Amino acid sequence: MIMTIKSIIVGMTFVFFAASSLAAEKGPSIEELMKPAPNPAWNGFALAGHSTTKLADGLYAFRNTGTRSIFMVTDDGVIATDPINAETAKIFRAEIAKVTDQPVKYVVYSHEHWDHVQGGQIFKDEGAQFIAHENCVAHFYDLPNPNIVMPDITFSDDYTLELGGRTLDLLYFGPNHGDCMVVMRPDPGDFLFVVDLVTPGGAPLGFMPDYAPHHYLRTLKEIEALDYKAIIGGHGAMLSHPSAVTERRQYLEALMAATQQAMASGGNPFELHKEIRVSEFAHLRGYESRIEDNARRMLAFYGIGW
Amino acid sequence: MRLFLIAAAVCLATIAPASAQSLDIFKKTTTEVAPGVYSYGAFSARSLFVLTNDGVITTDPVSAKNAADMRAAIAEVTDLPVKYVIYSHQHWDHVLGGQIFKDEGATFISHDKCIPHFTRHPNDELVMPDRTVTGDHALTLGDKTLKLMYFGHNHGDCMLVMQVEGTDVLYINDLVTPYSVGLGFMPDYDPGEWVRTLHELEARNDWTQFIGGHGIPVAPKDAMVQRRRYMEALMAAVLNGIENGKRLEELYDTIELADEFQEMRGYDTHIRRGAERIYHFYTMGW
Repeated sequence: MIMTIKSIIVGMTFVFFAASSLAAEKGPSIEELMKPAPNPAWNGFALAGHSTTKLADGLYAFRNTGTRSIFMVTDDGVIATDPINAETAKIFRAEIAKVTDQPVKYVVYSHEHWDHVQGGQIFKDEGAQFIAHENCVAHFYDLPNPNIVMPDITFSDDYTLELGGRTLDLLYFGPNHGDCMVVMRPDPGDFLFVVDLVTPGGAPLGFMPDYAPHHYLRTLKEIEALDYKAIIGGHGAMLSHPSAVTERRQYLEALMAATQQAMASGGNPFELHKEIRVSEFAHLRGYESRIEDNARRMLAFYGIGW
Repeated sequence: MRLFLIAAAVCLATIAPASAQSLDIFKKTTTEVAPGVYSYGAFSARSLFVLTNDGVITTDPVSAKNAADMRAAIAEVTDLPVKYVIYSHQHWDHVLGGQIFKDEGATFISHDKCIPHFTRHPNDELVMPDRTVTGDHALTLGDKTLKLMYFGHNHGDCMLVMQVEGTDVLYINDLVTPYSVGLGFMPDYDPGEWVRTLHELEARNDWTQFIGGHGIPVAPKDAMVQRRRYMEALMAAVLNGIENGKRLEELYDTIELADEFQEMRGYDTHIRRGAERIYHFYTMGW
């Protein structure tokens, strides 16, 4: 069964605050980059335009509208990550070219979802090898998308990509959001590039598409145990403090506990999603509009075992 | 019992009354749909059991309480023992509570792909299968043969559709609840595979009615066709919106299908979340 896909506009909508977009040679310190911004009003629209920010020596964040990737510039070439889609990949390639003449040697997929991994052909054409966790491959065959370049290199657990004296660790935590997600850690290890697992300051999207609640929770705990300084986000804020992972983990735990309590309470099972609340997290962006769907997801988790 | 009610609420939101005080949907009945082919259960959950001259084949126990009620209902039509329990798929709102059948010596069967779900996510109230099937399988007991038919991935990946050979009745669990739109965000459904499966069922011309995993005791094939057409209309409307540049919020607010679908139970409640699920299908590939 093959779905014919025409050009798809990335639709994941998250709130962003305007991170300072500094492309200076030296680059700002992590602390400067993470200066808190005022909590923006929810406006439901993706940030416009694109930007490229140097985060550290040879490490850059690239964003077009609502989605972000990283790239590393080494003496032997460039490691790029999620191409997003053809239109974005073209801009991505041009932004890389502003920084270096080096060719792109690798493209690393964070996971299998189409809003991150389409459009890589421009990198394939220049000879880049594509890398993904092996579990992504089954998804790409199962639901073929002609805009996705198939991986050349796959791996089954953690993987370290080496190029020009630099390393990019691909950390695998098992299933969580899909089953081939990797968190990426460029050397020397100050940053984690985290796609979709955390939207700092926000409540999870509605019914939490393709998240397995218990695996998601487990993964966040495993990320919390790592020692690092900042998260580079696949959506939302460019940089966030590690405490964003803790906040999401605590939200999930509170939501799951509230769901179990509601189920044990003897209330009308058809109305439970209206009762399940975690008011201590009401400050999260999108909480009001999403809590009932978040609750429905957890009711399904405990109700049918999915 | 609480868990069962929650599971029922998850799967039944489309057909439940606005307030569940009447609880008619939990009233259990036994309906002989074809000779020896019985539809047992309530709106909240429904199983097939088959009477043969050498014993009974039953399907999803649902819960300990339901299994006890079903066992009593079986005893009203025959003294013969229950020899087999077939799980339609892996979800807890269908497969828990089978111990009463295990105690009388029944053999439990599921599709092979249910096993990883059962072992990775254990549940004390689940009786593990004794045997598994890897594809289509014909189970003969006495004078009847129950065909177990596998259509691949659709709602989970171990769903079996069943038919007693020589009858025109299918037991189709969860792939369609007659005359309703289905739960909003489509838990554990792969939209594309689901529609493919419905097409494959529709193409078979050896059946005219079906027993569902929820809902009314038996429904005509038309009710399944309606669901297939609804899914395709929804998917076309969402894809059209995406191709015309609509973001998720806009789709959510503006999605609307033809009148014939608006009359389906649960449309107003679930259309928006259904559109959101399909939006993710096209934009994430999930």
